[in-house]
Amino acid sequence: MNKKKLLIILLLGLLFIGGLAGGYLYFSKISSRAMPASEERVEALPKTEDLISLKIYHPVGNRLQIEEKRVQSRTTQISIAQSVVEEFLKGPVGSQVSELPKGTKLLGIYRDADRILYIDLSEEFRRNFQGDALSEYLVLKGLYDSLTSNLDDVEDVKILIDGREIETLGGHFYLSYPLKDMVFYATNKLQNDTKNNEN
Amino acid sequence: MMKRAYSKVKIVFFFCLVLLITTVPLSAQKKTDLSLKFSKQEGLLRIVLEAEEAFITKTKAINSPSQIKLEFPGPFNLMSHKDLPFKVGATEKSLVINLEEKGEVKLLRLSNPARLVFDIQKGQKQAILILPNLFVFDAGHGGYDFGITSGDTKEKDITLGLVKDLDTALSKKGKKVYLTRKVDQYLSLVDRIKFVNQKNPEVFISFHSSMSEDFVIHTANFRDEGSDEMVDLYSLSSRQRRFLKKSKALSDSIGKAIKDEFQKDIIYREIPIPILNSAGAPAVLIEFPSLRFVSYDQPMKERLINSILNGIAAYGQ
Repeated sequence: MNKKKLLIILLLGLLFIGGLAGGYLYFSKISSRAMPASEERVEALPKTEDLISLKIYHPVGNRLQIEEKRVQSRTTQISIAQSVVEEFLKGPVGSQVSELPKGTKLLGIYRDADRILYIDLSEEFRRNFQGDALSEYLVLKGLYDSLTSNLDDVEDVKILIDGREIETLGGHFYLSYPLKDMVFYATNKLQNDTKNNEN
Repeated sequence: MMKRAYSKVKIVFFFCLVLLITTVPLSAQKKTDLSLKFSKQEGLLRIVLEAEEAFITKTKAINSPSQIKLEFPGPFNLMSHKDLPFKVGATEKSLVINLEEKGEVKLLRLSNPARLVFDIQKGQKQAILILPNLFVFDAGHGGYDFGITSGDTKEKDITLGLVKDLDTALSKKGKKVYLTRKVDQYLSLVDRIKFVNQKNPEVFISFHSSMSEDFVIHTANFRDEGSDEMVDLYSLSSRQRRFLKKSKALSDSIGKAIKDEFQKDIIYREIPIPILNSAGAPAVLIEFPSLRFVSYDQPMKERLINSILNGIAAYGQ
């Protein structure tokens, strides 16, 4: 009698485990069908051919450091300019201390009939700038060089702050005029700064 | 029994307390060893004061042809020879050296070991400064434009203090000095340039701070190619072209004088700064070491002003 009871319990147990295993397999198949395959998700990211390379000139110490950044391909010149300014404002990769004014936001980019590109930056660009004449020059030249080296059809670059013209960024150079005539000075010459070392 | 032990603990505690009260002020008033040495050589007397670096760097020195006054950051223990060729008077934190003979006193601050070196050239007459007659000085920044800041110290205040002191020093010598701003106000670059060109000075200097520990002296810079003589003659942004040689001579003279005084390298930079490019006068922009590295107290300002005056005088000759 006892043996019979034991056999029945064992059978019931086996049936229960079998049911559980079957149920698990059935539901796991359904959920895997509902989730997109990981390969499909990767395909949602831009392919290598959808990326473009931008040359960004970052002010570092007393020179401009060129950095190549790969960003998603853009179709219009304005959207490329937007990427250039955004990458420029991020500062160089891996740099702990950025020489660019903190918290600056790009508010807009416009181009007029004379092919002058207007870069409208937030007030933080002026308010948070701390630097001497050379630092200011490098910030302006870095932005100008980054834009003109990545865009084909730009004659000059002018910076606006909060949609308005302001006279200067840090009290040394003009912002009230387009930048080209001011940033002609080659920064590689700065490496030859005469340092009086005679003793 | 317990009472006895308690009273013993009380005595020990009281003793410790007394010890603490007496030793804390003693240790707080720890004196720094200050060694005073001298040497003499053909009319040159050299006085050397040597101590810990922190002590020496915070020491303020004011000198005249017959006296050297030193103010130290704390009490000191003077160690010197008995027979000195000058008289020394000391208080807790200051020292006065009265020279027996007047002379030209030059101060050098040197390190490793930290020391102050005074060179006194005896019997030499104070150099007569031959200076130009008309000056314009520009204190960089102002108003809401603070320039470089460090804590509560702002570049706009340091530059204003310097030009005011220069004004005082030159006015005493009968020279005409104009300042682009005399108070803490914002002044546009265009207004500064207009002011300079209206006054037509013999020397124009704009004062700013650098971001580094160095003195930087800027002169104007122009695009090499495509210059049109007629355009340059009338263009405001090219007015400096005719004065470039003089500006470079001024830059060299001031740089040399600053180097002699501070024993520091000078960086000379040619860069198209609007206020220089548009100035119709011999013009330089001096950036003094950042206020983040140097404290611009009165002795420091005096040294800077004296060296600039010496530089201008050398340029004038």
